[in-house]
Amino acid sequence: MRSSAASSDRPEPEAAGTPVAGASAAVHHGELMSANESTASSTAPSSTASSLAGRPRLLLADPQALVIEALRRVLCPEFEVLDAVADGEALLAAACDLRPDLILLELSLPQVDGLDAVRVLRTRAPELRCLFVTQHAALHHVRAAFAAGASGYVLKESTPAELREAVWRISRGDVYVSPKLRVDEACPGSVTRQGSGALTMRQREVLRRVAEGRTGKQIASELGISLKTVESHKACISRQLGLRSTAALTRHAIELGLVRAADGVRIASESEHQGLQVAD
Amino acid sequence: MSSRVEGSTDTPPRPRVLLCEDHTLVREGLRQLLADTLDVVGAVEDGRALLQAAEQLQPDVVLLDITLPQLNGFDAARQLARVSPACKVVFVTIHADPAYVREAFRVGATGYVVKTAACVDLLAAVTAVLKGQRYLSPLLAPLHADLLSADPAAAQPGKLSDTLTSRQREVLQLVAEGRTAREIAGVLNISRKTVEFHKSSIMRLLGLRTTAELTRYALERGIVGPA
Repeated sequence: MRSSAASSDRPEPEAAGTPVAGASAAVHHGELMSANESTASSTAPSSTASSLAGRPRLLLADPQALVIEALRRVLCPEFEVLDAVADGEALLAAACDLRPDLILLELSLPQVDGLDAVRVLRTRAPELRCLFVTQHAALHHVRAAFAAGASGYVLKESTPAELREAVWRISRGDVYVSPKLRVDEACPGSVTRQGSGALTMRQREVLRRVAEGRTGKQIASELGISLKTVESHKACISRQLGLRSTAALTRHAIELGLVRAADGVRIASESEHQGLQVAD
Repeated sequence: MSSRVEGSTDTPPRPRVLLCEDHTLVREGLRQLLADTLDVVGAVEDGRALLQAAEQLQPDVVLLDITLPQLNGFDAARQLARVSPACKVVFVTIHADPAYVREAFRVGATGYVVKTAACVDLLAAVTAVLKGQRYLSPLLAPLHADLLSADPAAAQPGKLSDTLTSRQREVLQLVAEGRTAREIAGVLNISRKTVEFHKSSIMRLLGLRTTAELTRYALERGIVGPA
């Protein structure tokens, strides 16, 4: 598993494929096994750096130091974490310096937003793969991520075993979307395709009014359409966004900037919003 | 506590800590990090599970986020005083807004750590609160030095406070999370009718007419986080 023959920086496809057995074992045994995993890897024939060359080399980007420390704990020693940064600008610099195999990043990053960072990296270093590890579960974020060129999307509420599985799969060249997002039910096969899922003008009008607390009847009369049409718009929006309640739609509308949020409540950053418009 | 020698009788026992964080990746990573120094007796993912675990385990310290599913950190901290009166409360959160810090101390916490801080900050907070001191992340302290010295009991209710009862806030959070009356009834172990009654009382008290308006109110008050 820790082939000492691999002397290049970059693991060969076969070398990257082999350790997957180890990764799936981690899935079966759950995160409590991580202590044993580390014992196992330390009993590898050689403990020199080159013996670990088969491990994917990662770069982490998250604005919260505590989260970075937690992620490191979850990822090491199965993977090699080259470095961790707190903002998008530092990410771009570190990515070019270190040439990791995989970048794990949050969507909301200061300086340069996560989506923009991925776009830039796609042009500067197309072989580099990006995996979002984020708290944002709304489907439009997932679409925007893949449209920008990401290879994977995992939630912070995913398990350590799932994250490790995602890293191995993406290292092999697969695309990974967390099953927690249930994208298959919401929009089979379309989530990784660019441009799908953006709301139409009319849908945005309906969504805004829903979030403002208008009833279906009021919306119908304001827009000069039937109540049935309003309800069908609402159902469409819910399906497209993967949100099933009025409360969830309201929170989403605030995030989109369709309705005003109150002071002191952090909503999606300006650039996330721009990322959305790009996906339109 | 600095020594990790097992069976040694002259080292004080490691503080028993209960961790509450809804992001599993962060929770699991933190649990392992903290376990190097502390006795992590439990790690749970929402405010309701926290209360249950705290009542059972009676930890020395509870580390919890503010934005939490089912029952937010502020309301959980208020109820902790009842189920586990001896335990110290430390918030671990992304919120740097002084209103959040003030409310945290008001609901009974003595520690407040921002997630932009490192794990050593968290350990320092645990040590400080166990000594009976109040702790605020050094990253925030220059901004909110007055909050450390102020008497939290005398503090005026801030913009995050309201006149709702704790049960009403519980219902409000669950409504804003998009749960149906039936689901809420199940979570709170009350009848659907009682849920509807609470919901309409909240609306009357706050002068709000729809679920959407309730949701926006809950967002403004930090009762739920952004979607």
